[in-house]
Amino acid sequence: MRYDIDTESAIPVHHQLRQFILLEILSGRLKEGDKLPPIREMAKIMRLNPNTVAKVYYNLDNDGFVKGKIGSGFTVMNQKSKLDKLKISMVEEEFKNFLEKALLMGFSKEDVENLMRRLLNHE
Amino acid sequence: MNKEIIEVKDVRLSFGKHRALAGIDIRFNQGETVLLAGKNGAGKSTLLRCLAGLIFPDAGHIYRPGIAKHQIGFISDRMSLFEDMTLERAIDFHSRVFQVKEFNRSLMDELNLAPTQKIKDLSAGERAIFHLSLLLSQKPQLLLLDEIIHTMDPYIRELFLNGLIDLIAECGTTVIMVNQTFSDTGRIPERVLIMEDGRFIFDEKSEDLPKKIKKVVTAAGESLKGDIPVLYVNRSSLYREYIVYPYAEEAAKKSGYDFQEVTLTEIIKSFIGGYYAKKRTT
Repeated sequence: MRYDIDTESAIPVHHQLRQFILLEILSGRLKEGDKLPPIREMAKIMRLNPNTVAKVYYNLDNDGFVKGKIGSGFTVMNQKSKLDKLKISMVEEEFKNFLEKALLMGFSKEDVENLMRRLLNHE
Repeated sequence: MNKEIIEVKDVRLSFGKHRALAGIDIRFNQGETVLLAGKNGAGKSTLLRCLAGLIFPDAGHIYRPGIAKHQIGFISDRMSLFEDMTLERAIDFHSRVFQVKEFNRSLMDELNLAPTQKIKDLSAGERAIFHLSLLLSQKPQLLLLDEIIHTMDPYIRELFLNGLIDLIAECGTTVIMVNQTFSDTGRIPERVLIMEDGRFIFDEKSEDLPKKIKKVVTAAGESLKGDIPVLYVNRSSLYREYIVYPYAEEAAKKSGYDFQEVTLTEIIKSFIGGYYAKKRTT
């Protein structure tokens, strides 16, 4: 696991931590049954307030991605349909950012389409 | 979690002609971690000393429902411990005064601090770690840190912050730290207060800051059009960077400018820079 949080960034840290854990799950680096690092450890590694980490863990628990149990920490759950939905929304988000930038630079929709096609074919 | 542990009501304090605190009203909850920033001489340290009960205000009240004096810890680089004591004696003394059953030496061991050393022979960072060790075993409900973190080398800083995280997680301690940047403290502080001339001018959750402050970059010769509140302007020969506060989405959209995000340290710097700029023009 590679931990990285930008403490100076304007993106709220709880959001960064949530995205980070979800990416670990989506990429398969965290598998069903794996344990999240204990709250205090995660706080130390990321230089976060333990209360912030706890909030993120409990939210992930609420959403069904992990399951918390007193004494044994938080375990990753298998939620295939939820993960698939999440995958789509995360990629959509990235595409939106990219599109916004491209349009801002003056590219037309056709330019973007052509660019995408070219990149896909070259890969 | 939202139990209030300190309430400060209209606290005023002057040193001779200098007004250090000019009517402070603030509340702190249990388990909160607060970053207190502001220019030199804004009253930050004075306020911490009042909260610690080390000095008394000229007027106003500080209520500390639910915390006893011995549950308050205060670490400052200007504070003297018992300089001639060995660490062993200091631990022994401290443990008896605060009825500590078990003293945790793990932080001291990390720095190879020998019990036979005298306190006066420690470096500033070592003193802070030693002091923190004493306080950790005392399990304070309120911990006040007066500009010590930025003086630490990266290794000691990490030890210190880890100790702090343990304390917050274990005891739900409220921590109020005077520090100027987030790069020293990570994102441990959840609330940011900025002082100016003995008053608070800013009080926000750290996660909300980026929504309230943005910046607009223009060419050097250009000035900002429209009715946009500017806190501070960074000038260079190539560009101008307008720090906008308070940021309002409606007005921003109408203006047509590209509003960019600002780092947390830039935000604090802009408040302090804005103060100096204001003083120059008046």
